[in-house]
Amino acid sequence: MRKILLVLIAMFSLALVTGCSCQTKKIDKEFEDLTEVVKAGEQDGVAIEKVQITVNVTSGIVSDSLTPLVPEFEAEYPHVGVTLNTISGGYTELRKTNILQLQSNQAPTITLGYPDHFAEYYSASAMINLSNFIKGPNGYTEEELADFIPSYLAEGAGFDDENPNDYYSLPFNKSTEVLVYNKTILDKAIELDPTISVPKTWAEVKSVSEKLLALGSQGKLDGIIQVATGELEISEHINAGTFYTFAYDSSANAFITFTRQVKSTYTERANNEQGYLVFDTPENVANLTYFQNENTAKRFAVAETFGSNYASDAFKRGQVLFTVGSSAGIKYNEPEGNKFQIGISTVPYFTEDAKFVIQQGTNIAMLAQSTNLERAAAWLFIKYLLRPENTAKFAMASGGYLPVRASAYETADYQEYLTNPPLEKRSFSKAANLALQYREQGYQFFVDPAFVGSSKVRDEVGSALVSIVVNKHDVKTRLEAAYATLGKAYQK
Amino acid sequence: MLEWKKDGWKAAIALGPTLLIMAVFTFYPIVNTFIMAFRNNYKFLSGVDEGFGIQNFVTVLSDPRFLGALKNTLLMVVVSVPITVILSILIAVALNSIERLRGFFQTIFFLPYVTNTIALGLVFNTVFHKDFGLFNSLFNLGAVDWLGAETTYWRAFFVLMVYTVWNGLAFKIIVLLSGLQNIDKQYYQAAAIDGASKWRIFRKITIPLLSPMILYTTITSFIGAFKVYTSVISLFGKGAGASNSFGPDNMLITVVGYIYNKLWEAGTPFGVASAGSVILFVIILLITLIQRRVSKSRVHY
Repeated sequence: MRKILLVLIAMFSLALVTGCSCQTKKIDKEFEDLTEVVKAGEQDGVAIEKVQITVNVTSGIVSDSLTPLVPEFEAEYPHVGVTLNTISGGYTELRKTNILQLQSNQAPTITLGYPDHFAEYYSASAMINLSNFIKGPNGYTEEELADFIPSYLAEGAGFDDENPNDYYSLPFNKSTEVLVYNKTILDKAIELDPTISVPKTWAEVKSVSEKLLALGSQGKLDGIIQVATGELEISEHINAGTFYTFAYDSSANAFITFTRQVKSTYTERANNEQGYLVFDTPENVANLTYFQNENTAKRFAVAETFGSNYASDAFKRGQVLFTVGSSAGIKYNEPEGNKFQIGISTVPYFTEDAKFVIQQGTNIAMLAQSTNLERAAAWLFIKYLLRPENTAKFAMASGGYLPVRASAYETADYQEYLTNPPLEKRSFSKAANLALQYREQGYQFFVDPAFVGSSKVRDEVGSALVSIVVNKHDVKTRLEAAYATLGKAYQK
Repeated sequence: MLEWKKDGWKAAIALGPTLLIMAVFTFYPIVNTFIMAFRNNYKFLSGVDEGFGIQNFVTVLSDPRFLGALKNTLLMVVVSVPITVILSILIAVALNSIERLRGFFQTIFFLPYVTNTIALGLVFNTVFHKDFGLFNSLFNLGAVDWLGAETTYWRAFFVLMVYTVWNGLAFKIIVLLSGLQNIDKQYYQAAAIDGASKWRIFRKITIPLLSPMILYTTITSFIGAFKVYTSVISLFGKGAGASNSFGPDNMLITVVGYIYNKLWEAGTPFGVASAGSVILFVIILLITLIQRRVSKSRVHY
């Protein structure tokens, strides 16, 4: 009896310990392009089993917009089955899930992610080189590849130092920053003072803000929008010291964009594993001091000024008139009812030759814990999603995301979306039009160079900007503290 | 009396499942944490390291963020534990001395223990709100920022301590009250016959006979205070994915917060979080041993 019991306990404990790794996944070491096999559904005259692939995506708008495309793809490719694995908790949780799944040999075939996530996966040899497929029989021609927005496409290359032009990811759901403004109040202000306009440069932000603050403190901007019970009129906010003309949503984006706009430096990527801090420059110190002073003068704020992650609530309360945020989040700036109209414009810059605007959003990539058949099926799915009509369809369904291919903007449906959008998508449509304007007006999309740990730098500079702007920490000292916090590993 | 030959299977059935679950979810992670702490530059994803050594400990102990977290945590321990223990003794004694409404007050004091931490955080965020908070209006303080970006270290620390003490009272009061109710009434009757004052009875009877419970609550309070994490997040966190979850510039980050941040920080070897955990483990172990040594002469069983 005792022996039976001990054996049972031992078996139970063994099952517990090994429970997570019972399923061993077949992985092909050598690459072989089997896209033709998957398309035909047979290999050497023998029918293949339906190839099942899994895709890790974030829950919410991305998975909701992606879901309708899956049955359409499966109808076209009957030998492939796609399972969307939706992860709640945003991209941070998606990264954690991927890491844990990779560790336990349960990785999805495809995942979405930021370039720095992919840098981590790449360093563990967990990424598939998509250039193998791009150059293959079911890949892209030179013209097709050139159809991708170049700055979006560039994010997917540069992982492999020996083959820096090889792509390990392709752009999927992209967005950019836009300036959202309170059109109702600004229109009234322009009536009162015709020299006021939507600012295009930081110098104009300063001059327009001065005029708006003057009008506001005289009570001339009160009563234009209906304030809810407990909310203040603009003149009351100015008196209470809680009114700012301009606010930036993401302090990290602001910091990084500023470094570009003043032609200074932020980080220097040595290779996939290593990057260095190069933001402690006289130009950046001077520029950050400028914004610190602008905050004191109530002409610049960050979301944290209002005790929030986003400036949208303050904007909707009428406590802020201009805010910079993601085109994907533009809806959050729309007030309920008809409180006021919003306008959308370009992010301010300092000089004509440095009209930098950050590009955001994630890319799509294939993970290496798969067979060649799964990889082929995954490639066909990725390629399907990135067809001009489908990237347009995804962008329209999601609202705030932008098509990743130039020709997508020319499709009939997207043209209709740009010119005659449904009421609920009007703001998103304006943002999409603005993205076109950015390209036409010589703005440069950029993204900070990714390497393992680059997100840590990004978080730290975001904190630094809040300290500098809100808590008035000395700029030079705070940047030095950022270097110390990030440690010697990030210093040359 | 159980005997292995006769009753071994009973013991195995009773203890087996718990031991198995503990082996998998407690002992194995502890052992693994120690191993990872000594693996230099251990990369979780690829599973590779650069041999064994103390590199992770050097990284942690030279990180200004860890030293800041350690300072914050020690300060929280030193301030919150004595206040919580003393207050809970006084409240427990007060509750024990009343007959009417005891149950009602017990429920009131126990409420924070059964209330969701996030809900408590929201309540405190409202009470200490800069513009329309009860605290500012009650004391006519104007728009003082306690929890937002414009708060100062000591203001934020004050709110955290109010929260910690208030939230920590509940469990200790219940434990101490049950201890008080187990004290033999004869001691109090004898003291009353001898005409001892209430203060003398409290000092000479209540405290000594309650000392095992006081020791228990003190040790668990110390351990709890060293592991403080959720209370800071619930007060200062701004939701999923937000940075600065430990106040502006993460100024109130705790050791556990530091460990958690390092665990999933890109570019940081997994061993760094493990090394932080081992350091915390050693600190708690040392303080508990010191407490037990000191209490040997003070606790009356």
